Parts: sequence; C-alpha cells; structure tokens
Amino acid sequence: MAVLIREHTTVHRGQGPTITRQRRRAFLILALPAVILYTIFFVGPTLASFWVSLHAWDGVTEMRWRGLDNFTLLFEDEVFLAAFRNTLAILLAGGLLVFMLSFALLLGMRAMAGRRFARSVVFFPNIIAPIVLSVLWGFLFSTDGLVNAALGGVGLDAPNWLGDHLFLVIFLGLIWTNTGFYVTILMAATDRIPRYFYEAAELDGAGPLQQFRHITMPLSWDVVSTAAVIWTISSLKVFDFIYAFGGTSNDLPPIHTWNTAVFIYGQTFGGRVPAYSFGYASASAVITLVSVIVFVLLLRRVMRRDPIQF
Amino acid sequence: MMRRSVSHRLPRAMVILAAVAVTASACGIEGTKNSKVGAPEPGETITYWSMWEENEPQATVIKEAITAFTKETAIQVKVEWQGRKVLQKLTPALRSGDVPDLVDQDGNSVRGAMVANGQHHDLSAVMSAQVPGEGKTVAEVGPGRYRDLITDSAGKPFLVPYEALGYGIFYNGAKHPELAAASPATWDDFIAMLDGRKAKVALDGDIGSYAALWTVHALGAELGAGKVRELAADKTGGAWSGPQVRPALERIEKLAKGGYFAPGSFGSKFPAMQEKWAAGQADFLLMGSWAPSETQKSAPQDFQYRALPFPGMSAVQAAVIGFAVPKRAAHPAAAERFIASFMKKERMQGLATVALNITTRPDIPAPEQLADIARQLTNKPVTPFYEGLDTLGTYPIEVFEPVHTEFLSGKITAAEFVTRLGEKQAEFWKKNS
Repeated sequence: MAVLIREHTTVHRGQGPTITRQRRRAFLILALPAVILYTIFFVGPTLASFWVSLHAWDGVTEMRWRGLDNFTLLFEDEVFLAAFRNTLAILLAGGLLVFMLSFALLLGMRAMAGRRFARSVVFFPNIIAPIVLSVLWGFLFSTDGLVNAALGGVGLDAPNWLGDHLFLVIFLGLIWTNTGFYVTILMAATDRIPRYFYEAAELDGAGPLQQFRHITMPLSWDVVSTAAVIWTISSLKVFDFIYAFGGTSNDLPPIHTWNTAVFIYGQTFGGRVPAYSFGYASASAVITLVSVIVFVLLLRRVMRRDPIQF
Repeated sequence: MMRRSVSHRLPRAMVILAAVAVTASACGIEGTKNSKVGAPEPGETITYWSMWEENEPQATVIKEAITAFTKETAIQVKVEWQGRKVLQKLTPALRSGDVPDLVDQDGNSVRGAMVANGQHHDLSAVMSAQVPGEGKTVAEVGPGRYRDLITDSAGKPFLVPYEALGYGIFYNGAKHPELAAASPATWDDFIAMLDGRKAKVALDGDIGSYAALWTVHALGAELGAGKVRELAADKTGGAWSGPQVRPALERIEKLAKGGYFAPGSFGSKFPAMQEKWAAGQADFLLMGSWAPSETQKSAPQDFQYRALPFPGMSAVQAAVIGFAVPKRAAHPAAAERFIASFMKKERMQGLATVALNITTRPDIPAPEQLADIARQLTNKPVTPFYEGLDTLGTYPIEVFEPVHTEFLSGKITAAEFVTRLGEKQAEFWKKNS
C-alpha cells in the first residue's frame, strides 16, 4: 500500500513586524465590506429575531413582552413538534440515505464506462424546479397514476400515496433530488485520488469495498465532512419542495408534511388569511437556528480527522 | 427568510414605533377633521398597489378606468401590479409608514392584514358618496349589499367591493339539462338526485379548505349565519358536541361513506379532480365562481357551466374583492374619489365582459357561465366564505382541516370527528389565548 503523507501544520514565524502589520491591515480592509454586509443582513436580523421571539407581535403594532412564553408554548404545540420531528427525519434519516446512496453510486460508477454521462443523469433531478417535480410526481403517485398501475400490474396492493403517505413521497423526492448533488461533489473529491493507489491495492488483493474503506474514504474525508455540514444546513432549510408538493399558491400544505421552515411561513405570511404571528414564528426560528448550530458542531466534532495530503 | 425580512428593520424599530405611536394617534384624530377628505387637489398622485398582475384582464379594465379618472380629475394614479401577495408586501410598509394610498384584495385578507391591527381607513364616506353621473350612492349601486362582509367591529366599512365570488355546486348543463328547472331543494333531494343519476362528486381533497366546503356549507345550512364560527371560537371545543350540530354531521358522514366522491378525490394532486370533472369523468364540483375560468381548457366545447345552490341553504357563501385605504395613506381623499369613480357602471362593466367576473353591481349582467351563481348572490342573503373560519388565524389549517379531511374521506365517524376536533380546538385556543 502506498505511503500516505500526513500534513503537518506549519506555523510561519519570523516574518518582520512591518509585513505582519501590513498584512493585517490589508486583511481588515478587504474583509470589512463583507463583514459590514454580513452584519447588516445576517447577524443583525438574527439577533433581532431573538428579541422578537420574546414578544407577541403582528408586524405592525407595538410588540408585547411575553418572556419565554413563546418557547414554552412551542414545546407543547403538537403542530410545531410534528414539524420538528419531520425536520429531524429529513436531516438524520434523509442524510443517512443520501450519503449511503451517494457512496453506493460512487462505488458503482468509479470504474464504469461513460461515468461522466451517468453523473450528469444522476445530477439532473437537482436542477429541475420543485414545482415541475411536484406536478410530475402528482401524476406518478396519484391513485390511478403510473406507480400504482405498475404495482397493480405485478399483483401488489396499490397504496394511496398522496392521501395517506404524502410525507413519505416528499421524503423520497428529497432523497432523489439531492443524491445527484452529493454524488457529484464526492466524485469530484475521489477523481483527484491518484489511480496508482487503487492499482497498488488491487495488486495487494483488496476488493472494491476494501479499496473504498482504505483509500476512497480516508482521502476524501475532508470533502465528506464538508458535504455533511452542507446537508445539515440545507436539510433544515427545505421549504419550496414541501410547499410545491402539498400546497397551492393560496393554500399551505397539510400540517403533517410541515417542517420547521414551513411552520415559520405558516405562522407569518402563509395561507389564505395569514396569521402574522411574528413573535411565535421567531421563537420557532430561534429553535431551528440553535438546532443547526448544535448539529453542525456535533458533526464537526464527530467527523474531525487530521487531513491527509497526497 | 421570514426571520430576516421582518426583523432587519428592528434596530430602528423602537424609534419608528414610538414615532408611529405618536403620529398614528395624531392621524387618527386628524382623520375625521382632515379638510382634504372629499376634496383632493388636482395634480395629486395616488399610489395604488394592485392584487392583479399586469397581464391579467382585470388589470386591463383597471388601467382603462385609471386613464378615464385622470382625464376627469387630473389626479394621477401610480399603479404597482403587486399580485396576490400584495397584503403580505404591505405589512412591513404599514410599520414603516411608507404606505400606498390604495390597495385591493379579498375582504377576509384585508381584515387579517389591515383591520385586525387597526390600520384601515373608514370608508363610510365613499359608501355614501355619489357615483359620478348616476344619482345614486356607491352603497346603493351594489356594494352595500355586502355590508356584513366588509365592516369592522365598529360597523364601519373597511372595503368597497367591486367583485363578488359566490359558491355553488357546478355541473355541466349539457349533461344534466333538467336540473336547471328542478334543482334539489333539500339535502335528501340532493342525495336522491345523486343516487338516481349514479352521479359522482369531484373533490380535490388534498386542499383542506376545498374539502371543508362540504361540511361548512352543511353546518351553515343547518345552523344559520355566523353559528359555525361560534362553534370554532369556543375555547373548550365542547360546542361541537351540541345536539344541533349532529344532523349536519350525520349527512356528511353518509356522503363520505356512501361512495359519492369520484375515485381519486382523496388521493391526487390539485387540480387533477376538477380537471377530471371538466372532462366529464365526474358530475358535480362544489367550488367558488372561479371554477369555469380554471377548468375551461379541459372542458369540451359544448360544456355548459351551471351551478346548483347548496341544498337547504337559505343564504349563499360569498367573498368580495375590493378597494381598501390604509389608515396612514398620504392621499386618502384622492383614493376615495378614485374608488367612487370606479364604481360607475361603464368603468366596472369590463370586469364582467373582459375579465369574466361577477361584479358587485347587479345591473351589470354576469358572464353566462356564472349566471346561476350571480342569481344566488342577487336573490339570497350573503354569508362569509368558509363561514369566516379563515379569519381565526391558523385555526383552519392546524385544527379544522386535518381532522375534517379524515372525516370526509371516511376514515373517522362523525362522533370521532367531534371528539378529535374538540380536543384539537381546546389545545389551539389554549395556545392562542
């Protein structure tokens, strides 16, 4: 097996104080516009939503102080708890499935002819607008749709997908659209692994799974962990896909399909006559934000490895 | 998302709110004394945020009315075609004070976005103003008929409606020609008619509010105007167990379990079922007056849109679309004058002939495909769409519709519906108290 060289962190010392100072100044000047914009458009509103979450507010009249009441209510609110469970289902079960499928496709496509074309095909669902997918899947999964016709054709019971299992259909749709994206990212990471590692492994008698475990995974680990963080953040923000599947331009999707992002919309601007409950919605946004932070920190900690240079 | 859009103004919020509190109260006092009310200056410009998109036929009609109004009065109207989410866009503006002079949307939406927070302008003066050249007031030419749908808690109108939307059980008159002369008067007649024809009812049951139309209508027919909302507003949820509710729920239970809904009604995606109905695969569709315009592409050439009144219902569920003026509008008098001028028959006529809608003026004939609905709106008392449940915040989507769809699709009985709805409702009001 080829020897892998571990990267050592190099601390550059001994540079003159003037250069250091100039670099620092240049850094500040270059970073300042981004910091200002980021503060105005992200940090400020985030802090503001913490403040709003402690109030009852219709967005127009004066806020009324509620302390932590919004949070207490949220933890007793069946609709929010169901939305939170759905969010976790997408994050954890969805993430597991997306990455398992991505790795499986990676293994299958690594040595196949026409892999670039196959990669484009797998990536394709990711570029289709959710509204188009929802229309298409509406036809596929309706009681007299193609899926049930196929199931009936082989003598299986045809379930009422859209009536009884809508969240499952949405869940599968999310897996289907996202897998191609992660396959593409992971494939880009594995493409840069030199072929001679695999050739040496083959000579040593390693099978595809062993090659995957001992070469592909360690050498693409930094990309895998970054992809995991991207999934964590994006899965908590899923909105348009659920909305397109279950709702119309006027009507919100049924509550059993809501995640926290749809819940926030439902408490503010969603529906035929919106609720405009900004304090309550902000509290749920705060809980979602804190969840993202906790999950990302945990994930970074669990997936921390020394990077490998090759 | 929401978190960002509502709160990025917050650093200024305290100052603005304090300023708003002072100026709003000052405006409130001035509003009645304002010498400009009723006497706008020529050359003024009013800003109008419209619920229509610029390419919609309603926009064409409104544009022509604006041109004529400006020619008459020298008041300019600057239109922003905001589309259906106009009131969602208005909400942050209401706080900042940079509001348009005129908006339009349906009555319940305006009630939620502007009336609930006291940001509406009292339009009593417009309702009693003369429609130019007609010798009648705005209320008298038609809008006054919808007074119950457009007044605030003090009984003052917050909206001047120009379009009316009514509900009915649509069918193809070419397929069922004899129904026009003999529509079922009672629920039993209606079920007998369905049985006799082996007819199917189409429903896009994935839209909770469409499914709810059946039960809310049945309850409205049984209990009378305003009572369904009282049931929903009961904090304990126990009101649903009352004996007066039972007959209507039993009727719906029989409808649900009797196989009257066309296959796919609870297992497809909107608008699949209304398309199937238009294509002749089902016979009836309980829907609002937009049904013909939404389905005509799927309907055969000889399709005749007719609509039965909901059996046993002495009133008709209706919604209205009209103009409202924000409380802090800079040019309320000019906006009011525009509204009065728009109510002229010649200005509104295009809404029927070009946009194919029912206007609030009974002297403007409705498009042929909506004639049955228009007749109901003219001859019967009107009651709010959805019996006003949609003005109870998230109650319909969080409480009523999930339980109700289970009921209408035959998964739970009427007794289970009452129990589950009562429990959910009590939880909801505890949360929203």
